[in-house]
Amino acid sequence: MAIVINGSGTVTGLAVGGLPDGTVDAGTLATNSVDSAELINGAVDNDHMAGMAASKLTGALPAISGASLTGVGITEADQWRLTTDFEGTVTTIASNLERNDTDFDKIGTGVSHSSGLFSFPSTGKWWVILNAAAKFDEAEWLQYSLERSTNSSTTIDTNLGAEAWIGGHLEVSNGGYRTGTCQVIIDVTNISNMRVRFRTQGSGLTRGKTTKNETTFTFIKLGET
Amino acid sequence: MIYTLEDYLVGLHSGQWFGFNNLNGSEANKTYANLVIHSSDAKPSESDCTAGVAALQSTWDGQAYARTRKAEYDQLNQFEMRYDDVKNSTTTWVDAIDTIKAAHPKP
Repeated sequence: MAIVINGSGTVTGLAVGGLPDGTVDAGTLATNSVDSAELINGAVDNDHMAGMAASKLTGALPAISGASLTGVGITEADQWRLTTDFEGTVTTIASNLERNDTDFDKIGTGVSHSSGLFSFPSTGKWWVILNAAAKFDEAEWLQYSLERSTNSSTTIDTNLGAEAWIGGHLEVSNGGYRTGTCQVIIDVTNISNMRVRFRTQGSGLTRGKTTKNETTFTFIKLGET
Repeated sequence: MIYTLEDYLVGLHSGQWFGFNNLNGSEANKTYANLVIHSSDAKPSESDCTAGVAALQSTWDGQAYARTRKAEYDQLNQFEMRYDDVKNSTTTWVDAIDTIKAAHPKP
């Protein structure tokens, strides 16, 4: 069939594939003129997908590797421990602290401390756990607690209501070893001034080692504020 | 039980008055050379520390006989033995205690 250029602005007589390869560019196509019927099944590969709206992820979804997901699961987890024993009352457990370095690595940025005042890397709901290991003589006891500051200083504005009381047995000459745990989920709304500290009062030996966990301080971010 | 420098130091003052530098993940590094004082308390001399640890160890070791005796006393049903002795005019309780004491004499 002969190609005819009509006076009406149309061309007729052009066979399928009749144009030279590579001569039709994006500008030649009218906007919103190509629908799925013009695409070969499987023709849209990863490189040609700019993104996908969340609303498109409905119905039966394919299995997705957790490694491919972001913003889900535990994003922050950290653990510190006491390295050296101490006796009796301490207003702030401020020194002889180290991040657990025995087969452990933090998740995320991790917390940090200055003289025992721990600060958080991001806002959110944090699970804070003190696990204390202690040794007592007869009739000794220790109270452990978690406290909060919201002014970046050692001025404590609230006891977080997490306490553990442990003590020696009254009927033996050496009360032996005990452990106690106090924990709280705290909503950290401001990372620039919100701090937590750990304290103990009473008499007895709070135990710490650099080779293993005895007295530990654990921080896990559960979700956003 | 083997006493350490740390055991001696915790008995000198309360609180976190001391610690150790250069731990590097080893308890063996809790040495006098690595000792650091966090408080206004004076740093004890190395000789005092050495003597203090030795004294703790000596006291502990000197009580070995007592710990051994107690473990064996605890195996006895002493109230029942004493009751039976009164009822039967026997001396089983005293004999048992004497046997344990003789087996583990006080140094």
